[in-house]
Amino acid sequence: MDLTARTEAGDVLVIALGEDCLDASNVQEFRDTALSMLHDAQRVVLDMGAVSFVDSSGLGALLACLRHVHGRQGDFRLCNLTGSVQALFELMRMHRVLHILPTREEAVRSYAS
Amino acid sequence: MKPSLQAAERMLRRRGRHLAAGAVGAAVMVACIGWGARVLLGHAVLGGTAAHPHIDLLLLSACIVVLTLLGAAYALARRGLANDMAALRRLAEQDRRAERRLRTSEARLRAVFEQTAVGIALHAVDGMTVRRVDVNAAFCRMLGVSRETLMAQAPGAAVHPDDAPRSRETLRQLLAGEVPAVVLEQRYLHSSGRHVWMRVSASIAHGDDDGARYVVSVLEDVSQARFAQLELERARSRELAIGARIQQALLVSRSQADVPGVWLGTFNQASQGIDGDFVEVIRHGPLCVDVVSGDVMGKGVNAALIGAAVKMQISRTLAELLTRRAEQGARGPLPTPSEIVADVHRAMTPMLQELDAFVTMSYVRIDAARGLLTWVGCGHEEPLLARADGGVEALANQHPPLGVVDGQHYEQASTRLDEGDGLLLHSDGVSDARMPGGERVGRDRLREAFARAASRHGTPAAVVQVLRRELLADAEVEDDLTMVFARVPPRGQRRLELPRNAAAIAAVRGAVQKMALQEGVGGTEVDLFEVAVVEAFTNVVRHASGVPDRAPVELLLAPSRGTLAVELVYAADAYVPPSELPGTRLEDLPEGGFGLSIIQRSCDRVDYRMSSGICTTRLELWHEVAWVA
Repeated sequence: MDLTARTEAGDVLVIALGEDCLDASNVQEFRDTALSMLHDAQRVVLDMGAVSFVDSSGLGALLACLRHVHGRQGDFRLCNLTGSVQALFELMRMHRVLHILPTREEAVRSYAS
Repeated sequence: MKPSLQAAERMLRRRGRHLAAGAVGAAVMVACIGWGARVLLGHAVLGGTAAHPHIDLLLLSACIVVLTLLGAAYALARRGLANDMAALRRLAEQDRRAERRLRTSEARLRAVFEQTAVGIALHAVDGMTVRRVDVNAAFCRMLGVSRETLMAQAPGAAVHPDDAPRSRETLRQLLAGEVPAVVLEQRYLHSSGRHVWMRVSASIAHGDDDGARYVVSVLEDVSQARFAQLELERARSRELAIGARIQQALLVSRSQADVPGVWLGTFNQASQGIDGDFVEVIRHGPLCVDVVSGDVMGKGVNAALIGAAVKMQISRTLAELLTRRAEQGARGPLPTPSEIVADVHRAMTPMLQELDAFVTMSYVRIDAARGLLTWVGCGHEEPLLARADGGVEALANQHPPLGVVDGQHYEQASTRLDEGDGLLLHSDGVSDARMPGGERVGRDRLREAFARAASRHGTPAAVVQVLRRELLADAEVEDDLTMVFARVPPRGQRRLELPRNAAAIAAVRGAVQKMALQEGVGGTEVDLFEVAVVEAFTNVVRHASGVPDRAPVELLLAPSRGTLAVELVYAADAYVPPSELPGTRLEDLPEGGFGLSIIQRSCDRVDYRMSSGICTTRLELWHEVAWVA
């Protein structure tokens, strides 16, 4: 599972998902790795620029991350969604619960405002 | 001496003393009575004068007689008493001897109990429970604990947790009188942490009232034998696993679902993990493929090695024949099946005869481009050809098995092959399998089942799985089983055979993308349709029940004008989707329950069908010309 994390703008944890897909074939590994990275972070951005395919189990894993961060009174935001992933998020009305921003910079900056 | 005997002796001695005192008293009493009588008689008869000598003599005589009688009675009583005392002493002596014997016996039993090599445990029975009464030194040694420790433990506390339920049930049966005795092997926990395998023989010891008094258990350490047996089983499993891998890799070709123009599905089940059934698929080019199904006489590694050798010889023969033609500058048609089989026969027969073996084989060439099926049958089960109109023909053998006759001349036969026709090659293990009633499956039943399956189902794995379910699900199989089904598919349809595993998602996505590209459609709707197909596949992987072992999922790509269509075909219990989707509140951040929503929202039509154990999920996306890239 290609997941890299770094801190930007002081305390914003930016995680980049380097996989082409987030589906039933790799979702458990993503979930375990991402949740261990999130730990007690409160401001999190997940960069999904490399991901061209997400299925329902991938959506479930992203909501699990959101639930984890919310549990610590933090926020979990997404950025850089590819067209097909964006289409799925819109189909499933995910924008109602997930804060989605076009770019990583905007996502990091959004925590400052 | 027992207390009762001692009391009896005391009573006899007391009686002796009473008898002696009684005798003395009686004598004195007689003397007094005699003296009194003399005085009274003197007064009465003689008027107080001196006693008359005759009267004295008379009284003295009477006294002597009475005393003599008393003495005789006393002597008799003494003799009886002495006899009683002697009998009593004999009894006491016998009692002492019995006690000595009992003590000796107890000492002997205790020595056996303590010094025997097997463990012994004695439990007192109290209704349906037991209480530990005694354990011997060997049992303590076996578990590495002291006698005090073991006695303090509850019965069964040292039994391995995995074996405890069975141990309790066995004890229950014993106490309930359902079984007179039990012998079982179970693990006990040693103080070092390892476990010890024991063979336990337990039985009930009854009391004088015939009630269960004790449970006597004899325990024998069988760890070494057990570990050796386990190691042997592991070694055999490893050997079978290696054999099965060899078989799958060398003997049974993987389904060549991507042979253009021909769909193939195979099923193989070895009776001993490794067998002599083999399948070979040789692709000669677009729309032309050779399929070979064979069976080596016998089972096990020897048969498998011969099968592998035959397969290798087929490839070698083909390569040599092609090379020879190239050297001669011939650019004609391929070597015919009869040429290939004849050459394999020539090459293999000496070896087969030396090994006292033979090989049955069907060699079939499917030439979809020319609509021609050509075969050479060598003593194998005759292939069955299902016509698209529902009829079934058997392709007759022309020859005996390979290796039986020297210098055999081989012939082939041909028949037309149309779109939708399906061919089944199988080993005799299928028709020889015995159904639950003991009756053989037989060729007629196989033929009928095949005719039904081939007419109802289009894809090869579905046909094979239906036959497996109808004929072999509960059958007793003694031989290796092999089935190969080949079908000339409808034009424009493509099929993928996938393992029921999430790792196959990438292949599913690739197939949908390729179909969309070939149809010249793309865009968001196609992206979402791809997600929907993946969701349908994942549902099968995760939720389908009743799927036979190793049964694949077939992905059928059947585009038509204006429609992208994908069918997922798999053997399983019937699946009925919910008529209404369960409400999902995103605000609750659910982690599941999206799949069916994605399918419904991304497809224009979704059908779920079920026919004779085969489920089909069909997803359609209707596209317009405006989408064309």
